[in-house]
Amino acid sequence: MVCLAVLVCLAGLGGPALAVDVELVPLEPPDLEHLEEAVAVQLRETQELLQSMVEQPNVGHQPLADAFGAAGRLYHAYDLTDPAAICYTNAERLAPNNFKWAYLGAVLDQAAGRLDEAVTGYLRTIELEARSLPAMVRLGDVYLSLLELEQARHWLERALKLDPTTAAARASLGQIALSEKQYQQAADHLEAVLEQVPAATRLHHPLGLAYRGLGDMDKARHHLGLRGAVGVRAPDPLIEELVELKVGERVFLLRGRVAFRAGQYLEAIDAFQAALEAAPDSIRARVNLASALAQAGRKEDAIRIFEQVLQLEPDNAAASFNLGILLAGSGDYQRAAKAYRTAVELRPGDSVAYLELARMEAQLSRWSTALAAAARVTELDPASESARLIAAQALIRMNRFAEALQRLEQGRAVMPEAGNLAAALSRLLASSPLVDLRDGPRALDLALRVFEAVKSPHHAETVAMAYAEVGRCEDAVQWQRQAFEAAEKAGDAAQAQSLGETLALFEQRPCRLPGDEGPR
Amino acid sequence: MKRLDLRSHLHRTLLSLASVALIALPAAAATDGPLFKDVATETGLAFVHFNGMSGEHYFPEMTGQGGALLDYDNDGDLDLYVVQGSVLGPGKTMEDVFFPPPGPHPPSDRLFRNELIGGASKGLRFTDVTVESGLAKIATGYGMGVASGDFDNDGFVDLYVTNYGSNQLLRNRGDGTFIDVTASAKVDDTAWSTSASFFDFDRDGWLDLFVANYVVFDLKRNPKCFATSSRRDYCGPSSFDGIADRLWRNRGDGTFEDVSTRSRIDGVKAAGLGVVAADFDEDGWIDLYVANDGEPNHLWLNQRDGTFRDEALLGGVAVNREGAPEASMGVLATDFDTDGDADLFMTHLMGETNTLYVNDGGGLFEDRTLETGLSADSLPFTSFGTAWLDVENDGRLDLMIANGAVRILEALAGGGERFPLAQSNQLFLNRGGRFEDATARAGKPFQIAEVSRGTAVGDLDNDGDADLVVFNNNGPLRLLRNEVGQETPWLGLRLTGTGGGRDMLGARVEVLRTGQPPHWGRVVTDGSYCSANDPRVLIGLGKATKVSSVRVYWPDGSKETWDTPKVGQYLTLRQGTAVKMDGSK
Repeated sequence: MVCLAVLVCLAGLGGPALAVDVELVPLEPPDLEHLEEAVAVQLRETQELLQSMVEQPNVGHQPLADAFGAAGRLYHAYDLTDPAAICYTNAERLAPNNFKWAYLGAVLDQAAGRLDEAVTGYLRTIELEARSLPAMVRLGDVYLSLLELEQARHWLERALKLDPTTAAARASLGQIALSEKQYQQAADHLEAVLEQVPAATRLHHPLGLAYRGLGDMDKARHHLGLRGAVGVRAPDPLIEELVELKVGERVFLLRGRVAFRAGQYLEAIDAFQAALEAAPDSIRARVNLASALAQAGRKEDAIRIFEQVLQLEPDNAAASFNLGILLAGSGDYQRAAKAYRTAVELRPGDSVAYLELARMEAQLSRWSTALAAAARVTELDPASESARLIAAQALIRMNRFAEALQRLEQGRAVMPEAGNLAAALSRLLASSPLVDLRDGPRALDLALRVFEAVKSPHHAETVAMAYAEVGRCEDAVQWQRQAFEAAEKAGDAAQAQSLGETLALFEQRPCRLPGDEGPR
Repeated sequence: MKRLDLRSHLHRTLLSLASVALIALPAAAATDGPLFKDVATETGLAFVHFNGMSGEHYFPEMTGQGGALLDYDNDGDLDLYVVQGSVLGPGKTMEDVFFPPPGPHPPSDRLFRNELIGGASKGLRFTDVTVESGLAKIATGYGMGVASGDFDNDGFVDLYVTNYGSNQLLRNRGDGTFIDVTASAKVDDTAWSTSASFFDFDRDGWLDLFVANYVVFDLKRNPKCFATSSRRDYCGPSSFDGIADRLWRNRGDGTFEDVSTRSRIDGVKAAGLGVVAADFDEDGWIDLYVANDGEPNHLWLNQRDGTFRDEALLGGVAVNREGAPEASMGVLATDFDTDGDADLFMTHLMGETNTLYVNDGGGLFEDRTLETGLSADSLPFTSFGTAWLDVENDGRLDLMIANGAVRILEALAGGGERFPLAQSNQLFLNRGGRFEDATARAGKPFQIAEVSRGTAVGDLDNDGDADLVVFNNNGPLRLLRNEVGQETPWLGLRLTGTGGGRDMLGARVEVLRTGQPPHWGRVVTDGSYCSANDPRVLIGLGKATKVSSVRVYWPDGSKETWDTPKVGQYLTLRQGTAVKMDGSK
């Protein structure tokens, strides 16, 4: 159905007669039910604006064309292609000299497989805007799809003449050559594109096929093996602008996450705030916003928002966990531990949250709860070295040395390459308050291997302890002094003091550490 | 040694000694009429697929499903096995579903017996034998697809049903009933499986089994995905992890050995949807091609030592001509250009073209989609099932494509449709190197929009032309009877082996026609999407009225020739009963 002469049908309403002497296509606006609220609002407002334009007496062609064009672009952005195409048609009829509407309509035709219509639209675009590079490249590609290779070549070469750096045009010329089995020509084109845009790894595939056609299987395999996911596209501002039109929580969340992953936290904050504006009740937007704020250094703001989230949704495990991280970072261990505990209650399978809880409980010297949390981590993630270390530490603090030794031995059996477990084990074997648990030679072997890997004062002291345990007091003194001097040199006064006290013990004879309170 | 069922043995003997008489149905259609007519309802094929959807947008509910054409009772006509769904989702009941099934409760896969030969009716007529076949009680999984093949060489075709959940090997007992032997045969796969194929990869005379697996999807952890418009939509495969495919070697004693690792098949995880087995590099050993959804496809070349090597990249069939992986769904391995080798055709997502890869005879392929005119018309559709068939029996293979979207179609969703994925199907006629879109004159079934998935091709009325079955998701099954092909000379061949006399999947046949180039065919049941096809080779002869000879290349490497077969009939060519091509008997 086409409205004759001057009538525009919109939004289910028949508009009044317009002073428009062109034939417009009736527009049935899409059903906005089940769309995200912000999107529905945006579309509704655009439609109402268009409706009001239609209803204006004596509205001119240009403003009405702009209104149809704006609505078309918005529909296009949301992939509502049927109303978008109608809007572009009407915009073009009202403003036949504006190349944008012909171009955008042709893009829709191309995507829908209406290739003849797309050709018409792109030709019209170029007629109106002779320097439209994207139209030329797209026209070349459409002709290639229609297997009209001469036409395709003509338009792609014209694009290249206009801008010799148009890699997309040259890549398509390579495809034409492949289609014609002109393999050398294809290889030349594609090599040139890859030299210009090395990141366009997808092109290694057609290039590999070109070399295969030339019989050069080594080169073919080489390039096919380099195939990646990145192609080439001509710059296309009119299409790229469409993305910016979209609103709605999900769109902004997506943008924010992309920025967040790229480390662009200020942009991420902007996007997440926009998501929150689009959906004021959105928990996801708040959680993401707080995370971005934390990364940007605005930790107080982040804590405030996480607390808001937990008021709105007390069972939000992510918010509890993140809040715990921030509180722990600010030294508020009591509240951090509480937040972690909430997180693990909500997500009993979350080994990371349990590990942070174990750390926090250890920090607060609540050893039995630290041990329980660490044990749960080991259940969930047997490869967690940190959990086994915290468990051993808790057991030592509770004077359960034999169990600590057993845990460390179990950990070593599961992770023989884990250096921290080896270090802890060697230390316990060298200095356990329960003398029966000590094993000097094994402690020395492990301690030397650990020190070889990481030359720290702490590990040097473990070597010294092991030497003391096997009765080599001179070596023990030498290693302990080395550790002491290194700590002093590093300016770590507390460590230096502790190392110095142990050094005094080693300088006595016998140098073996006492059995009831060895260094821990 | 297995005890033979004397009744079936006698029947097979008769079939192989005397060719099956032509069942010449009166030609009612004029060549300018529609090419196909849907006769499902009038022939008793009352089946509506039930996908169990309840508004949760569970991924499996829109991906299925297919069915199989098979002669389960060895009476010389094709019967039909149809895969069915069930209620989907934890805690969901029939009260929750949007479209309750009209058929029996609880729903199960269905078996329809063709009464064409020996039945009360002389016309095409089907009887639902699901209950008496035993399938109503055992085939109750959430069905995806089915493969057919006589795995125990007893002369009765068996089925492997793929499910969202445990798969099932259904052994045909030869008395009209099936038994689930999955556990004893050791071929269960609890992953989400889609298409499967029986083929003899080690040339030991026993059919092995390949199963394509899709993605890890847990009904309890159903992610929410959205369309660009922000409307709730189905997720795609990229939201989930792919699963390795499986290969089982038939031990010949009723059991299979899992050789997925040894063969290297399970070395990659991808979202497999389609599979075809064929000797792509013509070395006499059957290879595999697996169509993956959104990831590079696999061309597994048989290394003749129990292993396979993926040569899809060098073969030019891993990704499209631009180097991008596509959402491959259905796949066919057919010599569409009759040069003797297996070419590949596969179906894809809306916005991608379907793709035709032409084989150079050595396993190197060229994407000739553009050049054959199959490109542009496929862009608006998401395609699944597909079939090569000679609609007019003019000696050129035509192409049918079954369509149905996987992401909501805004034009339908905005109109309140609860399953807004419907699209119409397409038919392309081969005009000698170029294809012509003949959808407009293909008949009414091609004008309606449904969510079509699998298709199966075969001559259901034995009139010498290829008919089609279309399996619609959440919709009625369609039987598209060919109204025109039987007017033109044809020859039908069933190639059977020694022993039990099973269909020799993988055998190739070269039909030499007077004054025309040879025509090649292959015995296959795999291909399309989640479906199994007529194993017989049907050759349209075009203007040729005589065939000078038929050469058969058996999977074990032997060759035989049959001279001057009479056309216009189905012949059963039994291995070892013809003059050898080297002249010996």
